[in-house]
Amino acid sequence: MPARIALFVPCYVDQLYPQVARATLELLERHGLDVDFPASQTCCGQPMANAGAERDALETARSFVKAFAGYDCIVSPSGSCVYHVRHHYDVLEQTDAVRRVRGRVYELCQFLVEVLHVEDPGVAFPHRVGLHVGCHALRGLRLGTSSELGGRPGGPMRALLERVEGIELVGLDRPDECCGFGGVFSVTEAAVSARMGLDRVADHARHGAEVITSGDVSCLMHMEGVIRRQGLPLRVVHVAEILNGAAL
Amino acid sequence: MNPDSHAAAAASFLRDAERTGWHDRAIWFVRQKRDIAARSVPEWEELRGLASAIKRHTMSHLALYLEAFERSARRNGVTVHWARDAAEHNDLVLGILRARGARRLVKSKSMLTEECRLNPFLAGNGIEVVETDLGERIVQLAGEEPSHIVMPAIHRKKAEVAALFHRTLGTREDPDPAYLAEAARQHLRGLMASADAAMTGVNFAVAETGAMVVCTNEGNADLGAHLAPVHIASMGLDKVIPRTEHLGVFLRLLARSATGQPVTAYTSHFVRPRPGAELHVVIVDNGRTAQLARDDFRESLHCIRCGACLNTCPVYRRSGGHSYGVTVAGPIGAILAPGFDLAAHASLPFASTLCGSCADVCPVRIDIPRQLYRWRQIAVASGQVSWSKRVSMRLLGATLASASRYERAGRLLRRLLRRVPRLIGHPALDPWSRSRELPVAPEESFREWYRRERRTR
Amino acid sequence: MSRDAILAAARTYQGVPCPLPTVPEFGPASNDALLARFKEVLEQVGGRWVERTAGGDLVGIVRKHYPDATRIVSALEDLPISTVTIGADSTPDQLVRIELAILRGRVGVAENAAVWVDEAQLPHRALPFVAEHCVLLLDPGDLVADMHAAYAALAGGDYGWGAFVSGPSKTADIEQALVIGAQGPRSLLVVFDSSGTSLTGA
Repeated sequence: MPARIALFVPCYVDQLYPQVARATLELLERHGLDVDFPASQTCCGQPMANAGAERDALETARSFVKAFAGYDCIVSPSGSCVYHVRHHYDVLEQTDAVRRVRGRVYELCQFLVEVLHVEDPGVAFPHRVGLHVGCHALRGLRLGTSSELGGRPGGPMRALLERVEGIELVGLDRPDECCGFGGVFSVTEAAVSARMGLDRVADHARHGAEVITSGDVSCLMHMEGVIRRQGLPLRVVHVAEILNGAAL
Repeated sequence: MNPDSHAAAAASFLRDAERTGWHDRAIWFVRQKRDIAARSVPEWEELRGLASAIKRHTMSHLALYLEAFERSARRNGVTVHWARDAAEHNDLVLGILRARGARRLVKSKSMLTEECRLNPFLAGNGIEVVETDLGERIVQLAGEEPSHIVMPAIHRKKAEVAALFHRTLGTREDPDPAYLAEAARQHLRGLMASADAAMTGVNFAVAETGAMVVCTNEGNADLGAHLAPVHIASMGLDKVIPRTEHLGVFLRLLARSATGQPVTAYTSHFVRPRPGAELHVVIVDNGRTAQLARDDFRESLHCIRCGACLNTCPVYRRSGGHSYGVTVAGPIGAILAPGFDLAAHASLPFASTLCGSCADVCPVRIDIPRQLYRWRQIAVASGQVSWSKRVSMRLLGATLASASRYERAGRLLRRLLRRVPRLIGHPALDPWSRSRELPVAPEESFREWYRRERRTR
Repeated sequence: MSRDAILAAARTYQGVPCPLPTVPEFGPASNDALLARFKEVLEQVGGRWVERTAGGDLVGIVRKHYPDATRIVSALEDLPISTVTIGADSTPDQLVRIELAILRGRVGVAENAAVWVDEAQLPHRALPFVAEHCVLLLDPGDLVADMHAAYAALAGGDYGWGAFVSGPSKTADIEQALVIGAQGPRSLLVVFDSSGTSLTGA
């Protein structure tokens, strides 16, 4: 019996960056999968939980589990949301459904590489690209090796992008410094957040990136906000879009 | 203290964009040195694991090791004192000084004594306190607090130090660090040679032998302690470790994590008093057993005060130690301080993006992000965040728990964003837009497209 | 009593016992590698070294490197060139005037160029710190690879005070500019000397 795959679309992707969710869906389908989009999903609860309101997010978390419990794999174009479900759903009573969902939720690139064993994405993207893995994906889900730990950065996102035809992944002064979004931090500590975004974007610009890509829309949204305010010659494109054969 | 105190102080710090860049780059440089040093030790990760386990074991047998340390120390002729809190610590120290008729005390760097606010207390009781660590002496002469636990004056430029020394020591106003360090050497040497008592911190207290290990680069702890007739060592009770062999693990991690050096210039082991001199140790609780009681946060007591988490923290580097309003700032400070006083320090766990860099550089593998997250839950649950924030979170929770409510709210948000791309007006209403464009709202959400194009089952 | 209150709190809250790990022995290296590594790291931390060849003139080495030193304290029995007498009852004023201290180290650590000195070899504990310059004699046979091996080599020793000394004193507290020579010695010279009895018998 074929595995049941569900697409989990983060709330802000659904509302503000629907093209990323479309690209994710199309990408998975191009790999021969039949993907459901359970309409009862809303949000994983991370924005509230990270703000300290874990209890206010309990209903949302339970709805999430209910929406996705029947699936074998839950795939999402978001490292931070997947991290939240895997690590912070320990606050829920650990029913079979909760355990199942926590164990079967995947970040998109992780799913492509570890479950579908994709090696060559079969697309071209002839541009200078800065890769921003995202802190929750990198240090939370360990989808790659952080610079603090040393060694080759690795990770499924990099592995897939390196095989994209024509792509040039630029080096950075600070390979994996946080972009400064941090959820409500972007508003409650706006000054620090903005400065971090500025510095992160400047690092990419300094190294001649035309595009910044990430597996997290939250990071891209924040950096795009800085880029547009600063009028920099940079664009943000989600990894799903590149892997789905997007052209600039 | 209001719940937004770090944010306000950080915003103030950041107003000088150039200085912030200087501060950020200077401290990032130390992080890079740490990386190089860590990579030079093939067994680095194993050492971190050992250090974490040794601390965990020690904390789970804390009473045993404290008693063993006391026994060993007393056998060595060391006088052991116990202080429940900062006030008691300060009284004890004053008592020791008064008993010897001491008027001048030289001190090497001790974050614990900063925590206890010892210096102003002693000054108020007629004791002249001379900080002998150069960074500490700089902030002491400037009348301010250290901004970093290892590099106390990292927030000061050399021109400022030159002006300070010119004003206080009568040097010429020359920003050459070698000139200034030499001036400090001459100035402090005489003071150390005429001190009535010397005070040091303790990096590690070995239960097995009673040895107290003090690490410095300048040699000031030893100069003070070996020349004065009284040496007082102040230690937090979390500094005890079981055996001498464990020093091998911690000392290989400490300086590499702190500054990227393979070891500090001096690693001094004080066991017995010098013949004819006195050696005292003050073992201080001041909230540490209370933190031990908190299952979620006891791991924070493993800290060996290396400062690596401060150096790697993108928020610390761009806001400076003073914006935390506590002795020990940065990520570790943000999980220690709420234990002391949640109301005063509730903003600190929120002064973070939870990026996780601190946990990866911590030599004893403290899971700082997990504890920041947990302190946030406690802060909100106990009403330490603003009323408006609590209400908005509750509203958000109710909205997101239902698909229909969520969709309606989403449509409303997009409509608002399309109509008002930038909420011009009071910056407090729209902190995002002060320095960033808001996202462009699409006409259709993904699920609206899906319903239209893909016909839901 | 505070002591009892603190210990009672510790006992109450220390929680579930966690096991003590065993610290393993880490990478050994051949003796040649140790000396080369020690020298490399010593230079990195601002120290200097020289080799005293068999039958070499130690006094000559000292005079060559510190020609202007007049107030010298040698803690070595076989190098009686002290011009100043220092003892346990020396005053701080006498101690701070020492220009050159010559001591013997007992163990040298290759990974960090640290040399162990303790009060058994010293007329006064302040000597390694108070002198303007410091010379440390070290037998290459007393080199170990890392701190674990160093503590193992020192085990069983009884000292009222001892220290690992790695290079000269230094500070980077002013805008991170490294200044060699902070409160302690301005320079450190390690003399590799095989003529004495090695601690480890190597």
